[in-house]
Amino acid sequence: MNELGTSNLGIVISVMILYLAVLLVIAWAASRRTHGGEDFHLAGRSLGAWTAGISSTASSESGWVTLGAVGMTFTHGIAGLWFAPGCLLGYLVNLYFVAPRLRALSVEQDSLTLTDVLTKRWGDPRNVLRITATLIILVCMMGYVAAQMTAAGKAFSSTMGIPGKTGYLLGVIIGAIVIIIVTSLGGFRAVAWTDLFQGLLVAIALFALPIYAVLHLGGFGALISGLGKIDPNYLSATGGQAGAALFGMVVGGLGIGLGYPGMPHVVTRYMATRNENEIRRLRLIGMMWGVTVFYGAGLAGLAGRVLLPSLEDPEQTLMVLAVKLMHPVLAGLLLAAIISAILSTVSSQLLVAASSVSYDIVEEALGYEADDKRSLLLGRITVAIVGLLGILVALSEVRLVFWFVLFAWSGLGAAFGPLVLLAAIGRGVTRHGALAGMLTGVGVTVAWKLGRGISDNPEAFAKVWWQTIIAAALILMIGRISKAFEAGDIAAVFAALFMTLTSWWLVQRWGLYNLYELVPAFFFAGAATLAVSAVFKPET
Amino acid sequence: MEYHLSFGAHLLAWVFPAILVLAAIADLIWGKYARKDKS
Repeated sequence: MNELGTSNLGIVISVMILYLAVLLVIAWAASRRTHGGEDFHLAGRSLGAWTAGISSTASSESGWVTLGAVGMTFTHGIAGLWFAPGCLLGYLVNLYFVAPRLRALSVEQDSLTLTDVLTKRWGDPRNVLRITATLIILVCMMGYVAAQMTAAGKAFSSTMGIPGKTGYLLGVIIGAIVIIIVTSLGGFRAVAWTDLFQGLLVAIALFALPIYAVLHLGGFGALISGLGKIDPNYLSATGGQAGAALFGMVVGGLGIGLGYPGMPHVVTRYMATRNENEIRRLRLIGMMWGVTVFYGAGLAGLAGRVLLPSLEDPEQTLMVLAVKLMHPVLAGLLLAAIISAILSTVSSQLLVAASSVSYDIVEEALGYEADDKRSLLLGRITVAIVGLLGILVALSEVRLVFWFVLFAWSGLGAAFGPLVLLAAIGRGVTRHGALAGMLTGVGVTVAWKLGRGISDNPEAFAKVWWQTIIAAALILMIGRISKAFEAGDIAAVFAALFMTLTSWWLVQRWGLYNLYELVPAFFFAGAATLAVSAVFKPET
Repeated sequence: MEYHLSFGAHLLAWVFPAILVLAAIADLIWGKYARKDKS
């Protein structure tokens, strides 16, 4: 994207530098108020409605909303909007059901992380649950962080107009370093405050730009007739599809929403909210943010379809619209908003990964008693290490990283979503059931995702079910040798194995490739949790 | 030729989000949870 002139490029770069400077100033201000572990991991439970609300929603929407979601309606017309009700229903469940209950639970149990809430909820004498949850979070978050850094690198390089590998490397490194400094300095508080700033920037951008673009076209009437002229199917909710394809599109779009309750970086915001009254206010704020951002992105894609008929990469719609329509200062702000969407997610995920290691593993599972100062230092060091590992992954294998991001949303959503909902409801779950749910969520996600690829490459996938059984056997052996497992845990591993193989079989036999893997994984995980909980009660 | 949004497209594109926002506002003003807080 080298449509910027040299003088305009200077303005855009200045705006970008200013934006990164604001992030660093916010982090510095937050770090002055961060004195200990609870501060670092949960901002001392001091967030107000605006910070908690916008921070929770902004960290759930990554570069996907400014790049991918815009591309969806660009490509499919109105039918590309199906993700929006899906995501908003996810918001509805999170904001209205999960938020007040999870906050109450975390205060009552004095839990600092999502893993901490779940393990204290159902008891975890041998740390089986805590270690399993941490491993899942670490693998998913590392991949996610690396993928977001890759996206930030691309956005930076196309913004600055530096072509090729140099721009990309520069983008990854600048974005990552700033975000590592922000997160390690100020911890949760810095992440939440920068999220608020960045979330507002994203919402303003996705409100103003599409409206401006539609006015530029000559109003909504002109937009609709412009879309109709290109393809009348753009004006229908089915996009001219029918049968299995339509079902896959609608259920897949709605299914995205199932992921929200299970995102640790999202739901920890509710735990950090000051009191119930703030939760009540943050619901409206979160909902308004979601509607603005999702429908703004959708509208931008539709307007872009008419305004930019020859655009090759639909995901570049927002950037190209910004540069073509706006004054360079505003274009610079819009590009900062696109990068904001990415960086606000990265910082939140980095912090979750770091809290998992420094709090859940070192302080809780290993029983390393830490005073406030050491806990803070430990948190900062883990942020830096996880962040630097993310940079290394982002700089190495790009293709693998994008596979990870799709996997991570579904893996986290299915492993933790049903458990968060069941923890909020309150009854009928034991720690063995919770273990079964986590393993099933990840197992079914992987099986479904690989199962989808089998038609392209049947040889490579023929042995997957054997490998699954071997993996389960290994888990059991390790558990047995280390004497970490109770009978219920062994049952949980078998239940997860059974569910994973069943889902593998379903994909093979019925060819349910169209269905987004989170949908079956979520329901299988919920079923496994309840079934194992009903049969196996904890011994102690 | 004149083009129009289909019925489903109307629901998807603006009726659904409008209902959600109105419901959220109504909840903030009159919600059960709100009254419990005050007591």
